[in-house]
Amino acid sequence: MVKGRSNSLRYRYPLPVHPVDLPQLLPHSPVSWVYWIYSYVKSSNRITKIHVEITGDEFVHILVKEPSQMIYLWDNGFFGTGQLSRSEPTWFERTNALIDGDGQSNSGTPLERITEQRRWERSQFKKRRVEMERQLLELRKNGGTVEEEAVLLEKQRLELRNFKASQGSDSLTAGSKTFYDFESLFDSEGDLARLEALELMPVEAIFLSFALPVLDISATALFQRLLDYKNLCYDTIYPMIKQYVAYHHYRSHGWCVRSGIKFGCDYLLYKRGPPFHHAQFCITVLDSDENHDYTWYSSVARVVGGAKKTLILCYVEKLKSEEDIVNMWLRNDFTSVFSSFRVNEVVYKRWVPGKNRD
Amino acid sequence: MANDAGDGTIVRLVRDNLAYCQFWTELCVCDRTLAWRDQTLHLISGRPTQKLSHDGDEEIHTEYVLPVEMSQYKKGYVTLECLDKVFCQMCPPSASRLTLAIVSNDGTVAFYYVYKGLHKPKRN
Repeated sequence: MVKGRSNSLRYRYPLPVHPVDLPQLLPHSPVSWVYWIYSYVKSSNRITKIHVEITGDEFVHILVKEPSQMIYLWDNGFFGTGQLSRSEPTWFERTNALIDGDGQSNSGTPLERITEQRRWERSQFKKRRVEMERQLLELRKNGGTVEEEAVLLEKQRLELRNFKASQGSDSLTAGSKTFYDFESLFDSEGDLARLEALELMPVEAIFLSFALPVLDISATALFQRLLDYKNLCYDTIYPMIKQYVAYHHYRSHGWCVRSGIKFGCDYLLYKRGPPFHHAQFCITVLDSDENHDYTWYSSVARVVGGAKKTLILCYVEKLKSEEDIVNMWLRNDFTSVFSSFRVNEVVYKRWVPGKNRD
Repeated sequence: MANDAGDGTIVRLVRDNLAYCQFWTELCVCDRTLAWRDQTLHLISGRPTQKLSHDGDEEIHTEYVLPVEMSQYKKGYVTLECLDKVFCQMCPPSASRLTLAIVSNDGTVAFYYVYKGLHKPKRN
């Protein structure tokens, strides 16, 4: 994929907070000391806090709507998901390109376009296959011999193979017609409306307010929005603590953590981020004493294995009493709350004797 | 458009997703709603641009989409009784399937078919 800007430059920071860039310090040169101190004093790595909008009462959605802030969160650690995109919020660019008529945007082909192309190719292939099956049925109806059938099958197999090979080569020629209700997309000024927001998972928002000072909401205020404080007890806060402890654990080990909803698990772990590699690991977060029957584990593992990823069972273990944890929570001492848990992992992998000899 | 507290956000999100990502046409949030447990269910109808499954006839049918929150879904909110009610009270009798649109807490929408009765599986 051709990118306008190189990925390693665009995504050079793993988190939305950056180190201060200082000039080289030469111990024997006083000028360099003066310059270093000057740079240090003048430098700043503070960012403008990112504004989040929280909607919904019982089911909370945390949104970032300002376009440059949406891109900032995506570029610096891949936080959030574009509500109208696969992951990176590309809807505005995609739609603009579509209206211009070339389907290509400045920064290369968006993922959504590639998916569309592949689906279209697959449906063309299926149409061919149906047609061939009809031919075979016709032959059988007319009392074709086994030899005739074999000849036809061989011919069809070759044809399908050639068809598939030719499909890969003509790149991005999707013939799918895309209807677009353009009118409703423009505001009174005649500009394309910004319909897409970046949505943060609650754990991401907690990480960006509790662990890193990135959002314009305090951790305390965020929790008040996420939890039902009227009925606060261990059982109401624990599910969120469990999810966050696991999320924080992997983020602090340098992984890019994203939602695992598409694979039936809690999180996906990327070594660097979605533009670089596929996710290698799928995380399912469990209580340390949680137990399921065999089919439960095998069904999750099969889905994950089918996508060539490794399933990790992440057990979150409580080290303090429930009462202590609730008290710490009520004192807004979240650091102590999250430190009261320990994470242990187990890799769950299907082992096939014939294949896994190494 | 239906926009009562809580529900409105996901109905709109799913509608926008269908309109501006999947390019469905003739989208409409049905007037008829269904009260189930402590929530109100809305149904979206619309026509996809391509056929969604290869099950014989070539015509594109109107599809019926039911938006649900993931956290709600996980708690067992969508029961068989609930789906029966949706089929009986919200869909026309000709509808043979529903599409569940499950909205996750990161804004991703996962779609799943629910058929009325048995259905021949889709060929891959």
